[in-house]
Amino acid sequence: MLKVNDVYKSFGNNEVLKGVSFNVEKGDVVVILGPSGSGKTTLLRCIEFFEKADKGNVVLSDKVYSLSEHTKKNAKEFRKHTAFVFQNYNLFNNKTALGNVMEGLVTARKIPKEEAKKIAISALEKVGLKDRINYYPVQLSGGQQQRVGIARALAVNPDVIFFDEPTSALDPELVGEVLGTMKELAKDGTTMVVVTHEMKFAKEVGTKIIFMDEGKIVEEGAPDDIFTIPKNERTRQFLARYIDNFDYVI
Amino acid sequence: MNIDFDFIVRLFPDVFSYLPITLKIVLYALLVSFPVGVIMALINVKKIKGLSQIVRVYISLIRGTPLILHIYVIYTIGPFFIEKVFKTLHFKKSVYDVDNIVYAIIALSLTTTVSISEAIRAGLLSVDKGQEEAGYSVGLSKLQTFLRIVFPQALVAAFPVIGNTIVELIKGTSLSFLVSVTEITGRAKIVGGVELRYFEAYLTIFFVYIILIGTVELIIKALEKRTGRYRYGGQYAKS
Repeated sequence: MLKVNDVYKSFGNNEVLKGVSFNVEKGDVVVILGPSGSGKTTLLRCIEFFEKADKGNVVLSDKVYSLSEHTKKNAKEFRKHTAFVFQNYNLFNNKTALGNVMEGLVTARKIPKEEAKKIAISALEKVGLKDRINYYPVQLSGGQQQRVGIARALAVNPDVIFFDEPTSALDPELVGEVLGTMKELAKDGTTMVVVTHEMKFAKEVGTKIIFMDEGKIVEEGAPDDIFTIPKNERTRQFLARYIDNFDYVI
Repeated sequence: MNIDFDFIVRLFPDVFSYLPITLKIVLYALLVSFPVGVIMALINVKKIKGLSQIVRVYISLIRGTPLILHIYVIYTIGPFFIEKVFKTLHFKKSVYDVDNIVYAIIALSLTTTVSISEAIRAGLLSVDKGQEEAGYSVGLSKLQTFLRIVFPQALVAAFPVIGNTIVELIKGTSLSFLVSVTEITGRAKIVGGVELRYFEAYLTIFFVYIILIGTVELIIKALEKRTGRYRYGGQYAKS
């Protein structure tokens, strides 16, 4: 359903992405793992048109969008079919939780207010924040803010939701509630592409793991394979702490 | 020194009746300064080539010169330009029909525009770039993101400074009598001169200004709380 083809991106002399391609099928939870600086976040930002890639395109539902030649129309069209969850939430500070979720429905998609409100409330209910709809972001904890961020992404009924390290800015206690919410979404069949360092989540929820290093995908496969018998040396190193060790002999 | 309190009591309602003139100058100056200030701030923040340099020179020129000079300069060369404009637009009006209050408003707008543009610029810079990206991510256009997300936050951040600017503007109107606009200060000067009671006249408008600016400050504070309630959370939030 979503195909990312051959994405290259440099910042000055620093080549961050060196030809990254991958596919996402409907209902997939693709988890992108890799050390810091391997280009995971840049990849997502290129796909969502926040950065202009040097080369590459993305195909969503059979429509090709160039990532190196941005057009307003393309960016808007692509974003209408996708949603993005940010590392530092980026909730609209001047709007309540409800306002945050409704904005994309009412202003961007021209859904009548009453209907949008219903959709927004049900999205907030899904992330367990029905009693917080009239709160402003400053009044919410980090975990709650991120769950509003997820509700905002969910409400527009996107084909794919991109998560850019959604739990990195949270303390360990709050990580659980956000991951729990994401797990629920996965159960409902939401298609997700998640950049994260949460290995347990990757293992349990992921349907496909992509391991990136130095701007390239070095290994991809089912979580059961990657977390037990990674083929690549670098993957093995990175995941060493998380690989199931069978330290007994038969 | 004996102070004529009766005179003060008599003069107070007299000068107070000139309050509308002062407010008229303030209002019109704001109506000009605010949109122009916003546009200038945008030019500066977006670093639009050519224009941003012009704006910066303008800001330095105005900030580097006293208000009284702006008033004199506008009063001297203003009519010349206005006559030209009338001629090119084929207006039947003469430049002598132009009320002096227009020159006061123009002169005061020059400074106020600069203050407002600098306040809004700081406000715009204080809004995190993530807000913009979040707007795009939910499908908003650039203009929608600016109007609904970025600008409202910038305005709230700039509000205290804009409040100060308005107070400065009100005080600045007292210089309008230099171009023979009779507002509060001008009226006090005239009556004080007729009865040779300058001190009492000045004391009277001292109170008029204190009351006026005190009221304006209260309104600004209330607006600040109301528009900025999302920043404080807690007590102001739900309403």
